[in-house]
Amino acid sequence: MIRGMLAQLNKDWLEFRRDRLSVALAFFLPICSLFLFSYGIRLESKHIPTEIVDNDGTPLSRDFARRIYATAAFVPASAQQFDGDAKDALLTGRARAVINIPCGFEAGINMNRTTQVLFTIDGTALTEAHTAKMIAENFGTVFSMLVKPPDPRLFYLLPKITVWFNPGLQEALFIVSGAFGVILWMFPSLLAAVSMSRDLEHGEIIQPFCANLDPAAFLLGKVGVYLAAGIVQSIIIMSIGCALFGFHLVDSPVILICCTIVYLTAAVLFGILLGVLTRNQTAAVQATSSGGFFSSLLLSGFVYPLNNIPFPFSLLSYVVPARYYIDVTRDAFMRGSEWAMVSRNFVPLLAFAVLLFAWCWWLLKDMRMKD
Amino acid sequence: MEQLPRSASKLPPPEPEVLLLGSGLTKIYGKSTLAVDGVHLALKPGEVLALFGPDGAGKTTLLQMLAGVIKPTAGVVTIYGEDIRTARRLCGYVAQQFNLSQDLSVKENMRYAADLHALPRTHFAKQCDRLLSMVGLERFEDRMTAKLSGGMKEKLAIACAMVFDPKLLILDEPTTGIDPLGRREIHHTLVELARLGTSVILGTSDLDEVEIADRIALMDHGRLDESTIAALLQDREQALARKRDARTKISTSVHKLDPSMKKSGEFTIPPQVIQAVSQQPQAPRPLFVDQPVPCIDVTGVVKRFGAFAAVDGVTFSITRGEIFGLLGANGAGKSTTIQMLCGLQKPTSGAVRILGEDPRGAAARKIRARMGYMNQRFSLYDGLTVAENIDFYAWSYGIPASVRKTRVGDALAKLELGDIRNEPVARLPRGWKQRVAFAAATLHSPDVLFLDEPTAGTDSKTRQMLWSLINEFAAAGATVLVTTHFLDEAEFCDRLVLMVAGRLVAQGSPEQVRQNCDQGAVEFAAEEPQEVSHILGEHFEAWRVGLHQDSVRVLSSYPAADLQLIQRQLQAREVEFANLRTDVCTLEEAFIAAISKTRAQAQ
Amino acid sequence: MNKAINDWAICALILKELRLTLRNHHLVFLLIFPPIVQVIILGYCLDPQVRNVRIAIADLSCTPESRALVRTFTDNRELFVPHLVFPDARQVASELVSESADAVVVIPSTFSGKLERFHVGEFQVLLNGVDAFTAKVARGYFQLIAAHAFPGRHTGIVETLVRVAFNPGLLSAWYFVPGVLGAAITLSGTLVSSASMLRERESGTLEQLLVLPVTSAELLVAKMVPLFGLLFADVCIAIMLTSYLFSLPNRGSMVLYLFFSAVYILVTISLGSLMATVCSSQRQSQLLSFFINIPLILLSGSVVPLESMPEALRVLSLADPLRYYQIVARDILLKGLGPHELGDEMLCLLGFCVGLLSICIVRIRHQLS
Repeated sequence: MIRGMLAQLNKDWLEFRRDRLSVALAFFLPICSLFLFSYGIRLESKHIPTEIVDNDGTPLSRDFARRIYATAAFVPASAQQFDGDAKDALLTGRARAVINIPCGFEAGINMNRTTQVLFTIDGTALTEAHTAKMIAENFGTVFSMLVKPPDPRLFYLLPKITVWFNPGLQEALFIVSGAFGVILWMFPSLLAAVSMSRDLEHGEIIQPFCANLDPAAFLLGKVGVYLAAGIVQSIIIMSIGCALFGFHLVDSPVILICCTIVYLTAAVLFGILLGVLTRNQTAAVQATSSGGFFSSLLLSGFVYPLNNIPFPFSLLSYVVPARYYIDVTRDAFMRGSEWAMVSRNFVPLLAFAVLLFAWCWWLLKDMRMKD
Repeated sequence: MEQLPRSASKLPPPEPEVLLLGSGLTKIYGKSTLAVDGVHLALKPGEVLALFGPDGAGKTTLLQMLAGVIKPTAGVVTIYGEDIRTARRLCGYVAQQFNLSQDLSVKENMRYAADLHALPRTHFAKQCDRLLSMVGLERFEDRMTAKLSGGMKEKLAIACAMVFDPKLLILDEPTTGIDPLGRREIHHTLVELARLGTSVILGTSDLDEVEIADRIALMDHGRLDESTIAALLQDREQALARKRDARTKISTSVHKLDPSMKKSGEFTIPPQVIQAVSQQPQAPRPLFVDQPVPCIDVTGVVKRFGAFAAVDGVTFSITRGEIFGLLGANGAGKSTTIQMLCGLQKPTSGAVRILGEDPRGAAARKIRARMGYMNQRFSLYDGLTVAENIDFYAWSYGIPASVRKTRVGDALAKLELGDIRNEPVARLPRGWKQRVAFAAATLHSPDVLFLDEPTAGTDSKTRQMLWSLINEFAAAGATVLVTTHFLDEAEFCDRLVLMVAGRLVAQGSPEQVRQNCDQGAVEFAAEEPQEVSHILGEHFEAWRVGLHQDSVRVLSSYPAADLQLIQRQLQAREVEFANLRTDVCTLEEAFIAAISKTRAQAQ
Repeated sequence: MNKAINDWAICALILKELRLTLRNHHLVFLLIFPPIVQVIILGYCLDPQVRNVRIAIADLSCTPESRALVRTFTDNRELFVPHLVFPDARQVASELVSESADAVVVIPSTFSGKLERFHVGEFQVLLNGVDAFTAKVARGYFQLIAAHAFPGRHTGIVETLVRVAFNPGLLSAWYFVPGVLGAAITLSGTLVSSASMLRERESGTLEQLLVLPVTSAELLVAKMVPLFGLLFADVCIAIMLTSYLFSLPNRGSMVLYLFFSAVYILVTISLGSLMATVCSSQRQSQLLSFFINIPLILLSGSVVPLESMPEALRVLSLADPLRYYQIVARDILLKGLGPHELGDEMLCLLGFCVGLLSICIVRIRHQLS
């Protein structure tokens, strides 16, 4: 049985090495994807084009305007002064936020009267709107503190906010560690699916069938090659990711290594499973790419938080292995990992791998062609 | 009542030395598709059994069940009493599509097969050398499988299947798509393997191929029948004769039938008779004098794909009303040539003219309207019915709606497709599909007709029908270009060319090609042709020896001298033979000689 | 041509394609079902809002004031999912580390004392900073809550009134659905059209088609008709469903929206056909379409915001037809804009359409080389 497994492994390795498309898939394309994801995906908006309509024209109002632009978020929308309706600016997309400073702004403040400033935000640019809204809502308080120091007789709350794990609130860390999970699922599974479905489509699988090869040996041989490719991929993209964005492992790499191996095995087995189920290369690629892309990119907590997903769709995210692995990578590069906590991720990943192996084995156990 | 040839007698009663036993084998696909129906089969060690039948007869399914590759719906297969499920390891299987890995070299494929069967390392080296030299691939150990020709791939597949010394070798259509030379080499290999003790079952739709077998079984509609092979052979001769009549050939034969061939109580149709009938001078055919411009003109055409020249300087010319044969193995450049003629590909250099125009030039659409093309894969739409397919092509070729219905109806009637007009094409066996494709290609009465292997894999009835239609077409003034592997069909062409590796190696009418061949043949009758071939193999190259049902023909450059040599050898080995004589070579033999000469020059 | 319409060859081609497509139930399913399912699922699932923040609170003060503060958090069901209230600071910290809580509030024992004496209520908030965006917004919320905790007391002299135009509830579905529909159509459209073209080539029927006396344009148009029809039906069904499920508004001209959706569908079908003519096998084309689709979708701004990307990538997105489609779609549906404002984007889309179709027509005959 070992002999058979090694024979299969050797054959798959030679085929993989000599197929230029596979090699590109294994190394070149994951690196491209890493760049695309790491640089392209950000939710936080800086440079929200803003128009300020200053109806007051006093030093204080100008100060207000200046401070608005001094935040990292808002930038002037256009060079010239704008006199039109707020709605118009938003409609044409010239600005994403329009701020109306009312007439009598300074006068009101000097007379200790509460003055309102209207922020109109374009709700069609969702993440910008969230950022803008959050800053806008707090800005009043911030500006008031500067202009009129608080009356010491009044009570106020002072939250001392400390950010853990990512003190600089660098979004890159979050995204890049998530990108690892997405890339290490999509490409190994695609490679394995293509290989398996090609074996079935071209009839190459008849040879192991006729030789009465043990299905487990066959599977392990196939998994071996693509797992090894996946491990090399993971080393490459993690090194590149860390180098580009300047982060590193927080703790020992042991947990990350173990989870990565199990995760890659699950990805490869997923590809093999789809190859066996679909039996032709086209359908296999289609299924793996849409399934993998869809689930690992969008339902794994890679970009958008998982706890916003309503029931029953939230159940979907529990069957996405990428979800657990991304947790592991974020632990490894940001939080620090401990075995006690890892069980909540390691165990599901292991379960996936075992389940997928069992399913593949069951489909192949006859070692005969299906009708 | 004619008696059947000895070799096609009924199943012998089960003897203790039965290697393979299949009983009650049935396979039903889905709910209702019956592919194999209650087949019983027994095979002795060292026997060669040919399973003959057209495409769709159930041969592949039966062979797969015998190899243990698919599960029978009912029935049992055993090898030496052991169920095939575990006894598969004693059986080597070569499927129609070779199932070799294209990205591995020859030796690596052998090694993979050996490792799968857990062959000891030391043993592997010897086996590998032995088998590769037996199939003639010893110099190609490190070549990638993707770069081998079709014949070489098949031989490699056989070597891989033999690497672990199986007791039984099962092959599915081993020589489909392979040139006559390659075919002969594979036949020799199989015969040699049988002689050394391996049993061989081979499935084929080629009537010539069954001649190397000990036993022949006919498969039709899923049922096995060993008794009617003689009737089939007789059918073929009659069909060929009918074709001759249709083209007003002189029907008196030049060679009289040899009385010693008709042994008392037995009836055999020696292939020599068939050949004899074909070696007749052709009757002159009415030429169309009102069309001085040749219909199809190919001048110095070259087609390169990168550095590889698929077609390398081809020149020929076809006049109106001719049936022109383009012969050659797969990979010789036939399909590329036809594609250039149709305007599907642009020649790298050289010129193509159809009816005086460039098929890719300004008048391309007009020319296309006057052309008909039947693809090798007979390109029908699986999702449409027969009538819908034909109607589609009729409509697209501009047959007006008013007459379309009648024209389609006529075509269906002519090709006897009326009963199945509403059947989806996907479910039809190959022979029917070919008829539909032919109808679709000819419905608009084209002036030029291109047919790429129109009769590959069909049964004899379809073949007859198609060829009589082709003849009708030509008689009405259309020009027909046909490619085929079947050299008996090549006889029906007015002129033919043979392509090898992109070049023309022979040109002329079938008679001229035969005469231009510099080889002669030595022929004799023998009872055990396989044994004889082994003896002859010591003196003659494998490709020179041709095995037939009860006779052997040897191609030779010096027939008279070799006749003496063979006589001495056979007498020395005490082999019984009869009727030793020299003969003119047949068309197939002429081609085999031409191909091997080209190959020798290339090396 | 004075031939009757039912003599036109193109009608034969279209009829054939329609029959083949509609009889292939697998294909029809693949075209209709996935885009709609994807749009609906993603409409529900993609949501950058900060809600359901799990907080763990440790009240070390246990005074009426501290309990009042605790209640501000626990009563705010919209934002917070109160986790547990612990008496001990250390336990609370481990909640954060073990990911059971997203934020931890520690009210020190000196809370009431300081409030009495200095009128300042200091408390500690520990935020999980892994998800930087969520953390920033959450931080803003904490500051906001702190500012408004004692109502009327210290909002400051300047108040900001925030109004959100076009999408007052900041419903993420309204943002994602138009774009995701485009993305889903891209995935299905390119995949199926390239597969259809390649199937013709591999089965040999393409050669028969190219030998017919019809023009390349007729061949291409006939191929596209059934796919176009099915994808357009998709768009209509999706819009109807999402209007119902998410109350997606339609403030502009539905005709204009459907017209540009049709243009974009043609773009994706041409893109798929073009890829088929470039590739030599089904496997290659499927992989190629996959690898083109990912940047196409990512750089278009349908699932991740375009505005947050670096300059270089935003420039690259100018070559992405989906970018223009999702801008047009969103602006028509949510803002009610028309050709006057969206002229540039609409022209670009039309340009892509015409350009890709032309290249396809030329390539269709050169495929076999």
